[in-house]
Amino acid sequence: MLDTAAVPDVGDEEILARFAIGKRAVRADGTLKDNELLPPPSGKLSVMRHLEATEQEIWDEGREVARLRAKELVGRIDLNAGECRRVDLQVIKAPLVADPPSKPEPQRRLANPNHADLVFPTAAAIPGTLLPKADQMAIAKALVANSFRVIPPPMDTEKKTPAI
Amino acid sequence: MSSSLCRKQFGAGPDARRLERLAVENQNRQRDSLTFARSSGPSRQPVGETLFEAWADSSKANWDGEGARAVPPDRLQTAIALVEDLPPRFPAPEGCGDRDGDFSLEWYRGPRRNITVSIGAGGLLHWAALIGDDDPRGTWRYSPEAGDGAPEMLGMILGRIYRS
Repeated sequence: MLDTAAVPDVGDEEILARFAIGKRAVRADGTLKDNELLPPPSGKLSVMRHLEATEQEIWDEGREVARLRAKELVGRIDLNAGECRRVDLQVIKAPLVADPPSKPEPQRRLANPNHADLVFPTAAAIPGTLLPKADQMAIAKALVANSFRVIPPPMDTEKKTPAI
Repeated sequence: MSSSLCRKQFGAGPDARRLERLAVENQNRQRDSLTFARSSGPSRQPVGETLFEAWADSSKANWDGEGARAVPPDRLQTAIALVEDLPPRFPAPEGCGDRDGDFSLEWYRGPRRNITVSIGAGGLLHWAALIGDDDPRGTWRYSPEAGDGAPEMLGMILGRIYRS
């Protein structure tokens, strides 16, 4: 994993993992559904940088995300940062610090220096608002169409996601 | 399924009663309508049931753990009306909640033969398709209460997607 004290900006050549959580995230043919790449109201979509992370660390983070959502980790897709920028997304580093011990255990999050955000563009006509929905959908479709199928988590290291 | 599912998931308040009524209406539609004789997914569930279950998964705020808005029940009602308004030759779509509180219907034949229609507030249908290298998109207004039929262009695009 990256050194929390010196997290570099995200380079175009970097690979970013987006975890697929819950069975509804994936189609019957193994591709990710478009709406998994639509942004929440904040306009920021979480991804994990592969940079200096082992496969084990990437999957551990996926299981952590699934645990926090009390759903099953179905897999991940890997996106190229430059490809995300080509469809007008910003890719910015956004390392996560661990929640304080005072936070209740089930919701307490571990640190993730490899966390980054895909930031959707704002509408030129109305500053501060996201692009029209149809344009957001087109971006998500382009990313999904250019990505490979969802990679399932390795069975041998699979941990059961505890219910919250 | 539906009324007991509602009680299990939503308790006995006014919202639960509204959802229960909606579920009963859905069951009636499934019995009466040709559209709802269509089925969706490998389990061959009636499409009204699968849409209802998809909506139920996204009916509470932060259902995705990333700050998603709850999808209001009226989006599901509009989705059902839209599916009913389409010619029966098209297969049933898959439904899912969007993080901005809209409810999406997806007709998917392949990575570059698909359309998603996202049902938003005020009868707005945001849509984006990917057909080969074409990525048309836009917004329609649809008000089944006012007697609107399904947008003609949706039928045309579905015709392109499902042309053999």
